[in-house]
Amino acid sequence: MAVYVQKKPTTISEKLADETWRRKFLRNVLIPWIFIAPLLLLHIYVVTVPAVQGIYMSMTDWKGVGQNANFVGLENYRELFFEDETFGKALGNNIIWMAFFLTVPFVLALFSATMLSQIKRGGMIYRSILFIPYVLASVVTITIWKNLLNPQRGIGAAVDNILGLEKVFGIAYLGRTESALMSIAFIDNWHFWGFLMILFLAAMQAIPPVLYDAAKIDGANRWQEFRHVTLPGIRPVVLFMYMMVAIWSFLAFDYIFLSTQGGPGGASEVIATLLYKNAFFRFEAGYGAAMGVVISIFAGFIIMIFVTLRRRGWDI
Amino acid sequence: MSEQTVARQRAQGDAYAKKNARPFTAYLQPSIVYILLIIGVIIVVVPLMWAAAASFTPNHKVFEYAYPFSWRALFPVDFTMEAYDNLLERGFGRAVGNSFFLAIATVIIGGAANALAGFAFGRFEFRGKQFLFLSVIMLTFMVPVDLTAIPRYILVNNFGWINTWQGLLVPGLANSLVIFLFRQFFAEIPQELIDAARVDGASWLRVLVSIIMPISKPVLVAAGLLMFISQWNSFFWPLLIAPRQEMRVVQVEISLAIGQYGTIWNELLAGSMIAAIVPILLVMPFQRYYVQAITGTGLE
Repeated sequence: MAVYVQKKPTTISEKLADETWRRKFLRNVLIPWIFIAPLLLLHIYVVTVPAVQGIYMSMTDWKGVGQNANFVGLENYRELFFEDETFGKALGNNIIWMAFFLTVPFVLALFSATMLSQIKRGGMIYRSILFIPYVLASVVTITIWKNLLNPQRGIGAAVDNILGLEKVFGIAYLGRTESALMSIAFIDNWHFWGFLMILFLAAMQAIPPVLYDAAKIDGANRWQEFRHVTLPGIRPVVLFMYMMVAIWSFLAFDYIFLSTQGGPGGASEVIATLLYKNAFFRFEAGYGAAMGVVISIFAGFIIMIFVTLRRRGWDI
Repeated sequence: MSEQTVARQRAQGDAYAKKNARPFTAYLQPSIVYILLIIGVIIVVVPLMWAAAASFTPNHKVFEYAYPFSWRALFPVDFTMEAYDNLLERGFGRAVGNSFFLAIATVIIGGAANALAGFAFGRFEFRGKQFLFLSVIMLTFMVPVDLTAIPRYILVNNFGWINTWQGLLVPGLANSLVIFLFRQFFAEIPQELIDAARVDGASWLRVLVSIIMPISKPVLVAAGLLMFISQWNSFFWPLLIAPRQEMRVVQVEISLAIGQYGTIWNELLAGSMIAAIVPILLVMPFQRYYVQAITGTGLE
């Protein structure tokens, strides 16, 4: 019996070795490609072809309607970086946005994940509730928060009312140039940080217990344990999310488009909203496409940084 | 490492982390931890409670308790289904149906395409695999929707797909995260299981359907949730491609109403509640799968 069981794989490998070239072709070329074909077709139709067309469009003066598009080389890019002040402003806002999202949600998530990991009772309930906003659509979140940030009937007005003040907190957060962008970032963060928290929490719980034991034997205190065991343990997730959030910061669109459309007076304009306006309202499709290419280059640059760091032996 | 070993280790890790992890917040008194967490919960729950309460309030009273503020703003004290009834009369039910149809079609068709590709990436060796994988995944992460939206809009327009189901459906089918997920799961299935069936003369499709699928329930649930929710929540592409009344999905219906003057707030919030409750109800029971899916792929 034992001999028979041991022999079985040998017969399989013999059978596999016995293949004619036709079977090999089938197995190594045809079958894999058949499996991939549906996705590949979708990807070509949805991403590859439009991306290539977008790059070409960015070098034309096409209006978005009609047939006449003249090739203008890198003219759109020159205008973008050297003449268009609104683009500079939007790029600046993207960078502020990135600075916000690389700090605030990460700190919040790290802090609450460490708290949740030590809780004995009801951890699952807290976790579930804090995760709810993440599954809500941007449209829903904005509908609710537009009301809550309303100067006359929102939270600010309620706080004023309770404290007996007049128009101190009850201001038009979304309607003022100083606060518009940060208010939208706040709303987006309300929706987003629970996601990071769940990721960090899962990573913390996957740290091998042996490491904590070892730290204890070495006489580490709690802070040192956190610093030298927990933090390195979740570092891959944190760094990966750092990359993704950095990329997403350049793509930010939904929340801004739905709440202020980039206003007031360009105060919350980012590249993506500017792109949308150029493509669909100002009939500057070629110019808009150039912005899309610029965003892609930024995103590609961020990915390159991470890939390079990984090649250099960073544990990302 | 077999799946069970991983699961067992993870369970041990969980149990251990609960018992022994003593992160830096351990300096805080347990009561303070609970207070901070409760503050977090309040920040999440109060806006939702207000919105839910307002959706059950007659429109002329929606803001009655918001200013001057009273606790009544958080509970539907003047309970009425008026907003929901009116929404239905306006044909919101149709939008809900559209959204469901679109999301379910995405899960089925997209799930099949992504699973097949994930299987090929996870199990087959073939020329150009690495390049293909990286270009599919990385390009999708990197290229913003906005760059591809204009040419894709033109492409879809040339196909005559504006205001059609194909136009709505096709761009949401391929999903990098889901391919990642499937690839990882399939790569861990023991080779013997597949060899045995192959030697018995089963075709690859048969192997996939009758051997792989039955043991892939967790990954199927997670992938289905990811695709369903991302399609349910998407608004930009549907807004662009299918603005016609009969084709509108829930998010488009709501986003068009946000911008209007003289918005009927209780109806808008009622619509939002309908749009919100579906993903919440889906994720709550399956949260574990959902989270494992995202963490599993993010770590790669």
